[in-house]
Amino acid sequence: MKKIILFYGRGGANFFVHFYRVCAYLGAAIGQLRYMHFYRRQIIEQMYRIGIGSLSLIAGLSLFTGLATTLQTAYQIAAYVPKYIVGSIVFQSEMLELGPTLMALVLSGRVGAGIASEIGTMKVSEQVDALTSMGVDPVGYLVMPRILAGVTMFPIIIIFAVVVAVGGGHWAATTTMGVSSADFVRGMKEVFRAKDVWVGLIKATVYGGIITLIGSYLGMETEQGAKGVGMAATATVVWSSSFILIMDYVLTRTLLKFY
Amino acid sequence: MIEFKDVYKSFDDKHVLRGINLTVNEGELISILGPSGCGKSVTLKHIIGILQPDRGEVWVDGQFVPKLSRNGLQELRKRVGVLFQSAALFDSMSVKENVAFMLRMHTRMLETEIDKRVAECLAQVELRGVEELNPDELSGGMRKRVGLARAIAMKPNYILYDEPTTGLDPKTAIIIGDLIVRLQRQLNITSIVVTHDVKLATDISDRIALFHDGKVAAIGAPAEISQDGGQLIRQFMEGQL
Ligand SMILES: Nc1ncnc2c1ncn2[C@@H]1O[C@H](COP(=O)(O)OP(=O)(O)OP(=O)(O)O)[C@@H](O)[C@H]1O
Ligand SMILES: [Mg+2]
Repeated sequence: MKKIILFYGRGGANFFVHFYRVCAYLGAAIGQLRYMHFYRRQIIEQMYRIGIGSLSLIAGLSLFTGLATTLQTAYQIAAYVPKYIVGSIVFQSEMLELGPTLMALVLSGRVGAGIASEIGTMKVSEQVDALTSMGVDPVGYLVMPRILAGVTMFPIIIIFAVVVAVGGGHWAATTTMGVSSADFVRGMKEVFRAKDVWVGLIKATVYGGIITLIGSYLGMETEQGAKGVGMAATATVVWSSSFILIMDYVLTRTLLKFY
Repeated sequence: MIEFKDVYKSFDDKHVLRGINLTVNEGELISILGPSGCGKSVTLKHIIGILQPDRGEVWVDGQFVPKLSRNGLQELRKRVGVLFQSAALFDSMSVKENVAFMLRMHTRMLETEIDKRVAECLAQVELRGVEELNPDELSGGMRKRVGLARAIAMKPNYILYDEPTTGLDPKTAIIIGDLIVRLQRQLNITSIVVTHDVKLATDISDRIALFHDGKVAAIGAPAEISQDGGQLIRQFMEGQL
């Protein structure tokens, strides 16, 4: 029993140490924003890689979420509700939840683990020390551009994802369920509120920040060679997915309540 | 001139440096010998302000390194080239981009000037036509030489070599040794060479410093030190330190 308490106690203490240090990295990265001009090439490169690089994967996957959501909605509302309601449900659930959250979970693997292993490899092979020794701040050169790219590109990726998903839903609804195109659009228009778009975009921004920050932090803290790099990548996926789901609850609760 | 005055440094409860006193004169080539883990790399990191001493003073060109501002440190780091043990080439960049790295970050040189300077630096280390290769296409010795080309790109006044020949075959090691001497003579670069290679140190150095127990146990010209520190050097070579 005592062992169990000690184990969790130590785990908890470690958690707060890491949490504190993650915040310190975030602070340092924000401080580096002053030198944005100096690191402009890195920022553009990361925006391109994180943004454009994720588009084809996200397009494919969100098409399937759009199709599945439509079919499931049709099944759930069954006969009691007018069918044009499908359009509204598909749009809202994609914009508020599936678009940002599900895609962020996918991107925690593609983007987050990628960042952790890339920076981790540089760390264990002295490349990070080399940067410092050449008068270039690793946080400014490696971390800040990635976080900045994450918080700016994720909302764009998510808009794209929602458009593809709704397009897919539209296709499924009109071809297999006998909902007319006009009805689908009417359903969407009836529930459309600008607020939903904002909530989805705020979620996307926060998730983009979480993934790139955790990936960068664990990458910069990597030790013990190739094994450490693998561990950093795995830990990034675990921790960023956990925080995404926790923040999903927090944001849904606060943002939908206040208006 | 680089000066260490009574420098102490510990990590947690591990006392690595315990009163280092060392002066490296302008244009000198000094080697640091010492057993693994005695703080040689840690010492080098103090010179460019990657690590701060717990106690004592580190001076470079009359500047007190631990108190330098961000800009001051950046200016200092432009004057000090570092060759890492693993060469630490950026593996996402070509050889050319590696050598050009500081030129791009810290100068406003034009593309043609950069090309010219990169070719010059590679010629200094006797490499030609490798600009477009990636670091993973190079052999260990070539990587070290590219690392050296990168270190001299900004025409530094100092070069710090961390184990420049470790893991290389004897022939390549001799080539690197010659390079170090040539750079020091031709470009009048003050050099600190951390190494386990007693023969290399004896061949190339003006002076040798032997680290032991976090202090400079013996220091002097290669001929002197084999007398004064003879016992220690012998122990070091026989693996007893
Ligand atoms: N950043 C650090 N944090 C904690 N401990 C460190 C750090 N850097 C070095 N050390 C410790 O300081 C000691 C000296 O390290 P250093 O790398 O200077 O040894 P060295 O003399 O260069 O040895 P080698 O010849 O093996 O390279 C080691 O025991 C190392 O574990
Ligand atoms: Mg070392």
